[in-house]
Amino acid sequence: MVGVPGTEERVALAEVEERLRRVRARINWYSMQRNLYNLGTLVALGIALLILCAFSLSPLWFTVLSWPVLLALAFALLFFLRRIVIEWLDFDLTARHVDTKLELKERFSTLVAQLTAGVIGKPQPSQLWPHLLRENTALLAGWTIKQVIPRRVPWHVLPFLLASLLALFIVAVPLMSSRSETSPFSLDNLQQIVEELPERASQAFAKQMSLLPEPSDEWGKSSLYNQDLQQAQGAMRLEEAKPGENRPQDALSFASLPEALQQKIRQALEGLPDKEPKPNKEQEVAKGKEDRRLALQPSDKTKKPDAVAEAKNLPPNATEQIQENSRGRGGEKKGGNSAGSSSAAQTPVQGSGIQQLDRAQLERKNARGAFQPSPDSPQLPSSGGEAGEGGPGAGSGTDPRIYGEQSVLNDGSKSFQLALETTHEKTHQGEDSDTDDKDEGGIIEKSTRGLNQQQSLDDTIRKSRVPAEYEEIVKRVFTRGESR
Amino acid sequence: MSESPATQLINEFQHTFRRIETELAKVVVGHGDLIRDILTAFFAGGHVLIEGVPGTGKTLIVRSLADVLNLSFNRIQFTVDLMPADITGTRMVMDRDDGRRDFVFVEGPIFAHVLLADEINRSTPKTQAALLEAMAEQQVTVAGTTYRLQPPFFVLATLNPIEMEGTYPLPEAQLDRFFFKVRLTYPTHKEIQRIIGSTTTNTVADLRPVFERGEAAEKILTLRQLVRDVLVAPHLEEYIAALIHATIPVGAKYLNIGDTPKTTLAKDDFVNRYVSFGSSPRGGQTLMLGAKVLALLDGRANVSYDDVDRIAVPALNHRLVLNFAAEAENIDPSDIVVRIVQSARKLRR
Repeated sequence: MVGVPGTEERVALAEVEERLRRVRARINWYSMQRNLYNLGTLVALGIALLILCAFSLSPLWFTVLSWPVLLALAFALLFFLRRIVIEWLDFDLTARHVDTKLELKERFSTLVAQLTAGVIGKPQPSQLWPHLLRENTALLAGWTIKQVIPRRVPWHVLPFLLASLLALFIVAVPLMSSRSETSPFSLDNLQQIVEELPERASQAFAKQMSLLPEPSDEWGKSSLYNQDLQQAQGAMRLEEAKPGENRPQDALSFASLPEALQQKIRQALEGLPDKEPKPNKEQEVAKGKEDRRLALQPSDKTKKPDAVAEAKNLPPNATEQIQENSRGRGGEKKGGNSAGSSSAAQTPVQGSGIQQLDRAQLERKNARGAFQPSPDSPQLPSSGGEAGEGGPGAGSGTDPRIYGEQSVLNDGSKSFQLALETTHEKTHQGEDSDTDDKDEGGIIEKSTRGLNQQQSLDDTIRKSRVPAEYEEIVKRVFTRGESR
Repeated sequence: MSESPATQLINEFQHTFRRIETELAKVVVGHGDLIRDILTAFFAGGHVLIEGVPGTGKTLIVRSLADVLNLSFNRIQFTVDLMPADITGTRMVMDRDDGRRDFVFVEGPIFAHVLLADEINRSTPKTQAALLEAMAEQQVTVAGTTYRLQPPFFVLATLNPIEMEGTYPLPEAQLDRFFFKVRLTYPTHKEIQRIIGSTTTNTVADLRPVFERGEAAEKILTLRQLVRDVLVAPHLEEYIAALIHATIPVGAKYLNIGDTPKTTLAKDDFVNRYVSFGSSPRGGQTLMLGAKVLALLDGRANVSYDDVDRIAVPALNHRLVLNFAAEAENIDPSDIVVRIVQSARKLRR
């Protein structure tokens, strides 16, 4: 009987079996490592390539290139997993590997083949079997596992490490460059972010849900004065009203209406006051105009209602600058300054276009010389005319924020450019040239003509019939506003 | 450390084999590889076909082998008019002691342990067939009566490659029954010098039998059983099968198309171009048994790849049936076998 327990033969067989198990484990581990390292190398290189492409290529090219790369990585994954399965050795193959490596002339594999064939406990398969076992036992002391598999870790780990380092480096470069910039969201200001989060969320929600402008707590500029600005806002809002911006569909529909019709709808349905766009504080601070503006805005709750008293609180240099501006206007000014703009300019703008026109004229006279638009304002003299020079929309009562929030207009360059275009259009609509606008009489005459045109437009609109679909839109909008 | 019985058997086999080689070397100058092949076939239980020009020592080798083994020896010179009964024996009318006459079987020369069939290709196929039946089945049938040949039965046939007129080349089926086909090459310059010096004097080489007369057959049979006890791993069997299968050309007749072996070799271009029929399974048996003998000679109880490769040429070269293109281009079957063996080395891993 082969392998009777306790016999010398059984001890030798146990020794052979133990050695075989260790060799097999080491070979399989080595083989698996090699394939995994190869796979890891390819994956790391692929990831590095994808990251590089993401930073350097356009989205289209990145998409085009990423698919083949991902497919190649998938194939590599399958290939190396299959290789792991194929190269996984059983006892017979392990013994053959040992024979080949150590040139044992198939002694070891023949013995193992007999063992795996189940000769233990059975009659001897051959009278030469003891000789084979004895040979292998003797040879077992002559070779070690390291002779079969010299290294525990294959050299394939080196390219894997290099590829991994490359991938990490490529990932780390943009991260390091972005970390150098001041991030608005970091662990340092996490507490502040959390505290401000509800307020920001409510503001964002209100912005999304609101089509009509919010009531302004600031004294607005004259609609006459900001006619061009309003048109510029409208143009910008229309440009930015893209489907992907999550704007309410009603707002898009309402904004697509003719401007005059929008104004008319507002006045007829709600009589909302003209809302002046919130001035960009950053621009005003940069230009040193904020104090003067605050002096002209008694409706600001943070300021005293008396504009004169506010003017007194202005810094001396600001007061002097105002006075200089006032003097600079020469005789064409009628002695008005910012303090003298008085209550007419502070009255909330409501009512019909005629009433607003009157107020705008009075306001313009009072503010002339004292009120100067910011350099970024579209009413800069370089735009070709004085502030409030009688744009066609003056006094129409149109809410300057009808086209959106003031933040949209904070981009001075856009506002300026659009205002230029608008002013240019208006100038061409009128028949007067720029040279005619230089004297005051020409300006007034042009303003009156423009107002007359606007008034006639208002009358036409008032008499015209509002389409049913527009009424439906407006009703839906205001129903939402009331519910909110 | 005492030797195990298995080790003693292997040592005895090695000792016997080497003693035979040594004794033969006394009378046969050179041809060491040929003698080893002949002895390999002998202990594997096969028969050998020796091809060589006249005067190179074919008959001497066989006769000397019989003397060394101390076995009975007969020689048949094959001629055109040789009849089967001249080989197997015949029934003759013999007088009994009581005066009556009866048919009595008289054994032919085939009834010997070692038989030399000299120039076997000069007899008719009918006579050749009588010999080949005895070679394959270790028996002869005469007048409806079967007579067993005494083991060990070993046939050494010779072929004369020249003077082909009036000869009958052995059919492939009969060639397949020979274990090995070996070629007796011309001796080297020094060997010729030794042959001339040793055979032209009054000194006769003293061959000492390896076995005693009565126990030779039994001992030889024991050694033959020992050969068959050599262990073979399954992957060696696969290797031999792949070698055999590699000799069969693509598109050969009677090829099993649905055969999808686990281990296979790409068909060599030579095989496809020059081989009509490949080796039979008997070629695989030859490879296996011959490899076992070589393993024992190496002191191993198992067969190795090298053993198989070592005997591939003598075991397979006469089993390949070449086509006309091979004859036209003077392609030797041994070259094809060598190419197959070389391409089979990748199966060792």
